[in-house]
Amino acid sequence: MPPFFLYDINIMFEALFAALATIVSGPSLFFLILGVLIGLVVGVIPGFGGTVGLSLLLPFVFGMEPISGIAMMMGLLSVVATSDTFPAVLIGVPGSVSAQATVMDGFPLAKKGQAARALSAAFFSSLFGGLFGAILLTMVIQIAKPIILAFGTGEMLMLAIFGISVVGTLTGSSIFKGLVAACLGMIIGCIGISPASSEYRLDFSTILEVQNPVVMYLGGGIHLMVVAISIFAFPEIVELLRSNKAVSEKAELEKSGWFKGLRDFLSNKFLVLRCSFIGSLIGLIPGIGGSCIDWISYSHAKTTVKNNENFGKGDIRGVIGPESSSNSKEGGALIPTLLFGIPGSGGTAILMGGLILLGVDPGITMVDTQLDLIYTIIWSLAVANIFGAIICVAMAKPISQLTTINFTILAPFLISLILFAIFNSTRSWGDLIFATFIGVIAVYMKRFDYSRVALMIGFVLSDSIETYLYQTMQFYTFSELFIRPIFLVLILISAFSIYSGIKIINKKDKIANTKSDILNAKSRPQWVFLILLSVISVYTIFVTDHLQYLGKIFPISVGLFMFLFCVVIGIQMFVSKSGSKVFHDAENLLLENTEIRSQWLTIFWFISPLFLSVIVGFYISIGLFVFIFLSKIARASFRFSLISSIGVWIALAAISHFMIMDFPPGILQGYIELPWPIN
Amino acid sequence: MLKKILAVLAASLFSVTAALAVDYTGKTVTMWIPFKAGGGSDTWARAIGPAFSANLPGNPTVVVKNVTDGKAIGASNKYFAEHGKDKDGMVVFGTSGSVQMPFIFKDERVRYNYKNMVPIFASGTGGVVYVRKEMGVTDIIKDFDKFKSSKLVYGSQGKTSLDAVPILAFDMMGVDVNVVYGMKGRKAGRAAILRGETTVDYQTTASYLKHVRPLVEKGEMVPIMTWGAPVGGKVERDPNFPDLPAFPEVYEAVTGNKFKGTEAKSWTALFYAGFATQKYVMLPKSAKKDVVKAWQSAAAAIVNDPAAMKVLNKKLGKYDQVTGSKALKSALKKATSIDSKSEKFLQSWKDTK
Repeated sequence: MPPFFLYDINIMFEALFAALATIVSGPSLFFLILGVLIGLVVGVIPGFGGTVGLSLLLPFVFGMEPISGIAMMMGLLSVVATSDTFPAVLIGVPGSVSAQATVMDGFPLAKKGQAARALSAAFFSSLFGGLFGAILLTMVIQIAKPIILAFGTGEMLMLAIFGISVVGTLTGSSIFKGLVAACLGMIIGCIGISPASSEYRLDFSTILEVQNPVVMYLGGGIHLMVVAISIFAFPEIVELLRSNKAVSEKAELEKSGWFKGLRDFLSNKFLVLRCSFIGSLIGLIPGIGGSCIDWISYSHAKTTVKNNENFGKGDIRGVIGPESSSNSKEGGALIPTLLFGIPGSGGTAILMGGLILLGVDPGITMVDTQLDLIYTIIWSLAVANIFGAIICVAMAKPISQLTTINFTILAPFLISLILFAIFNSTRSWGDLIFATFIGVIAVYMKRFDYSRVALMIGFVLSDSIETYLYQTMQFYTFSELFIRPIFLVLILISAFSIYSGIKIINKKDKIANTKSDILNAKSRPQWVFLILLSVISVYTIFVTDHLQYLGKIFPISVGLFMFLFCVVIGIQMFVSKSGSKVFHDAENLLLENTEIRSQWLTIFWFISPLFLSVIVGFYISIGLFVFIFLSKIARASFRFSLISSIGVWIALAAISHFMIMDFPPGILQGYIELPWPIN
Repeated sequence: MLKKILAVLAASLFSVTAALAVDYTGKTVTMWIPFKAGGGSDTWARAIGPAFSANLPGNPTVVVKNVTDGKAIGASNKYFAEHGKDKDGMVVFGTSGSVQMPFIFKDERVRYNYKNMVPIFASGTGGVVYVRKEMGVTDIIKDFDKFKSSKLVYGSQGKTSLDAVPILAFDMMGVDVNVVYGMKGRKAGRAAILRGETTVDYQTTASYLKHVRPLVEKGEMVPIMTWGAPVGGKVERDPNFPDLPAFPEVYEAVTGNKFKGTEAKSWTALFYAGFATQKYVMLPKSAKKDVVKAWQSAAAAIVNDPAAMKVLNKKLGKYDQVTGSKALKSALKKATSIDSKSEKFLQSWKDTK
């Protein structure tokens, strides 16, 4: 008889290859590919991520043969983070949460006519990340228990603080503007029920009646996708519309794009490896959630590579980093799901629901009794990634042609898609209104160089920091905390991250001081915006003051810091000359373009379908909007406009049918009973 | 002429009876679930959905619609606003303890009222309290002094959630538990006790059987009591765990008081709302009698359907699925109504600490 550990490994390999045989033979392969195809579509549509996609599958999964059901769900879950790169790169709108950071450099690359390159580099990185996650899952699943349990609330708090510390490396030229933005993000994150005291915060219940729709909406908290889409997509689309050009500044796209992407991937293999590792490790720990992983690995890429000046302006490494980690995190997140029945991400949470419906209950006994099923899951993850990447790479080139079309023609479709995606987050009117509000703020943030990334990170981590700070204080004394090795290591990493942030900003300072592209900046709008931000901070302090100590301490502290940073910016603006970088105003760069459209007019176009919806309902309004916009503003032919709007109607009806959703009704629907899907 | 009138009369009579008989052939019935997909209530709804489809007249397609606009309270309000006066039973409401609790605690955001609802089907569950092995407590009654003097830390979702049941229970036993809020669900509570950050925890029966019992067998955790199960109007030992005492029993043993009075009544109300009959399928009261009847008999048929029951038992543990108009009414009353004294007590208890 062989030694015990060899015997164990033999069994492991036997199970491993038996599982591969089950996956690639018979009906499960068919269901796997079906899942992959659905996943690709779900990833491409902004606002639908793995979470929504999987929940749509659940009713079909019920009653399926377990292996086929697992293959289908894993197929979907594995490829969403691959295909969500398409909209991120091509139109600057993240297809799902895990493509937030890809927008940063992917979209500028598309503007340079290198969309196909960015896409294929992203897909290869994503493929590698996915396979890395699968391999890690295979190796670690049997020994992961102590690793996961070593991450207590103290460590999770430090991870969240580490997440915030990367703001420094990602923010624009003014650190204080970045900090104000991060505070604003945290304040938006505070809206809704407080984690420690279960009180409603910042929902206007102090001035409005509690059953007012505004209060009810805000009481539920703000959905991540609403913020992510409005903060990134809204200003970009407004800007593109104003300049009335195609996304790509070059009419001819670069040749052999995807081959170049593969080369980019290969020459950055160590970056890919590091970011995959980061993704899996953070995915492994339930409680932090996947939404900040992209930013952490983006920041990691930015701080560890040489010559990082072009980050944010179209550096391929800014695409490769976050794409490697966004796909490797699923493998990591599966470990606590299968081991403890405690899901590590939104997608795995639904996967667990699906597994239960199939009669497979993930939990601590699964590793001992159903190892074959675990390997089936792992192989599905790996095989699905390969299929997904092949399909995406093949489509990269033809789809990137979209970037050469004049944006005004694309705009009505995109605006419809975005409004739909925002509405889909919680399917409420409030989402659309709140997104417009955030979107307008984002336009000015972009113009005056307040980091939108900082706002996003603050928003994503707000809840974790508050919850874990409070829990850590309850669970540990100071001396207990400072003997925990992982806690200490995380402090060091955060300190290093802050240090590199300061270094990057100093470098930017030098560059900014040598070339002064800030000419004749108007200071009035800057002051107005700054005062608005200060008012928000003061408002936060005042309306949370009546809450219990645990409910108010966090928002009040954030509000105070935000006010303080606003004051610092104010002083800087007061003492500086008008050419100083505090007065950064992107408007001046834009004004060189003579054909520019008015800012408020384009914002109005963006939100006009909403006004129309109030009267005739969302469904009718979107089709009308597409028609009017195309025929009046884009000056397309009557036939093209009509066909387009009918196309949009059909698409919405199909979605409404398959996703079981109703569109918000208008005043019209209140008076007349209308048939589906207009009702 | 007479023939004609007779023909018209017969035709109209025929159409009236046709309208009376409930038939969902070719229709799609919606289960309105105020929770997100993949959670406990969603899985429950998706498990019983097909069973209703098979047992309703005309075998309609049953779809689950997850409404999360404004969280559980907002989505429940919305059901009442949009379907509170429906007659045809095309959209039914699926509720859970998290919808009942704010109603009992009189949250001012609540605009739904259980008095305007007709229950169709109810599923119950139970809960098991367990501690870490290091505490050295194996029998809560015999080792009560040890339990009381141990470092007791409990990870909670909030005092007006389902966690009202354990927190009030600890208070009634007179044990000083450090309740740490901000846990995102029972899974997070379980993770915290696994890490050793908390020392006492409870899980619903299904989750306990799946995730905690293996640890008990390995000697890492020790179960000490259950919340019990409703037996003939009283809360008795949970039949899934006949060896574990139920909370009322423990209360009487360790305090020497009878399980009576305002506190006990309040706890029992919370227990019914959160565990004993936790999940309901309901129709608005405006629904036609035949519609209610069709749904209730479909529910009764489900209980006799072994395939559907297998899934439900797995999800919720082996507990009674309540069907039949009378049993349901009394269950719903217990789960959602509360006498004014207990209500007053809970309101002031909620604001302490």
